[in-house]
Amino acid sequence: MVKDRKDFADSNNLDTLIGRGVVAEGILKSEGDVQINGQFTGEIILSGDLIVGEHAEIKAIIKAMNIYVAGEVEGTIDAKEKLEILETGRVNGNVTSQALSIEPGGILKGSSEMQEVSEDQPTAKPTFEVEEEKTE
Amino acid sequence: MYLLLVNPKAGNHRYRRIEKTFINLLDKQGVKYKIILLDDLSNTQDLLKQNIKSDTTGIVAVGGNGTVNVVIDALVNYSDLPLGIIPISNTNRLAKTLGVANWKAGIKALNHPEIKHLRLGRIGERYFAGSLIVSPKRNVLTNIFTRQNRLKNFIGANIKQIHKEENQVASSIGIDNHLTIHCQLNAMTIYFQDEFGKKMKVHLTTLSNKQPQDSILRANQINIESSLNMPILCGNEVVASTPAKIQAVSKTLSVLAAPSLVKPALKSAV
Repeated sequence: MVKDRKDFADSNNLDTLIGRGVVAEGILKSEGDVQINGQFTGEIILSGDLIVGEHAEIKAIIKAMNIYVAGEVEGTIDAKEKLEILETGRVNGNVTSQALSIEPGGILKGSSEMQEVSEDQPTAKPTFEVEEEKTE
Repeated sequence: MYLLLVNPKAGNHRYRRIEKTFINLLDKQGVKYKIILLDDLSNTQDLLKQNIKSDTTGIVAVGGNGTVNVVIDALVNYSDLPLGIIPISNTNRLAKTLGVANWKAGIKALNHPEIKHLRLGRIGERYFAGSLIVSPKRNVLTNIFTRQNRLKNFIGANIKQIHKEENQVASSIGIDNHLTIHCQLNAMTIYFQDEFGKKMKVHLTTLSNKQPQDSILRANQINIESSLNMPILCGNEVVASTPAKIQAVSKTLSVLAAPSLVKPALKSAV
């Protein structure tokens, strides 16, 4: 589920918000959307989206659904769907995502690996009937 | 029968002044009750043990925030009995969230109450319901000084004496033992929000370049340490101070709220 930019910084939709001037370290796990405007060091594991604010400084291993970067990120990024580096964004590290977008001015220093979009596969396995050969 | 635990000292001994009208209104409402005076709040637990009988249908705290907090703490062991609140002071926050604006509304709410369930938290050895506020002492004082007061305005004494930017304390907040937050804390509000499961919602206001910044976190357990001791308030009453450990517990408290303002016809339409 890709979010529009108008959804950014809408605190009503956020599960967690780390404000500017706040320094956080450790493991951040969440089922919802997270926005970081301060400093973070550690690991971020989200089921929802991550929004890295313009003044944010992050050193972390990041796993999230969609990731929008307007600040600085140093570390490995694994976006299940989309990674978007905005014009003020700066990423230093290896990134993996299904879709990658870098706005003019945005910086990515590191390797980028694109995941193939998994096509819908039938969940039911085909059944086969094997006739046993009759031995006479 | 309701057990009314009355704190006669609450609200500057207000109960003594309204006692006659109070009892008249109870009788007029046809509420069955027994009044017990809480001269010493530390005896609340013992008084409950002595007075709860098989026909007791609920416990009612008659007093201010302090009375309500003490009764909640004592009532945790009696999960089948709901809590009613008759506010004697004007600042009873929990009563207001239950739709009980004053003591008359509190008595009326006993007649046809709506039962609600509040999640409980624990701070140290005490239980609490509603919200907690952690804030520097200077901040609490500023709030008192800046509160609108006609007399103070008239004599020109309603002047803010403490600068806002000074109202911050270097704090370290541990969230569920796996995340640590370092900040210049201006205020922290902790409350329950079922929208995101059983975790507490933590709203931080910090200052960055003299500008207030908001942060939102979810936690089952919070450990807070600060460079200066900060009071922790539950409904305007100081219940602890930092450093402190605050936990969400799985218990809930049944409370008697004023009947919902939504008319039945509207409710069914919704």
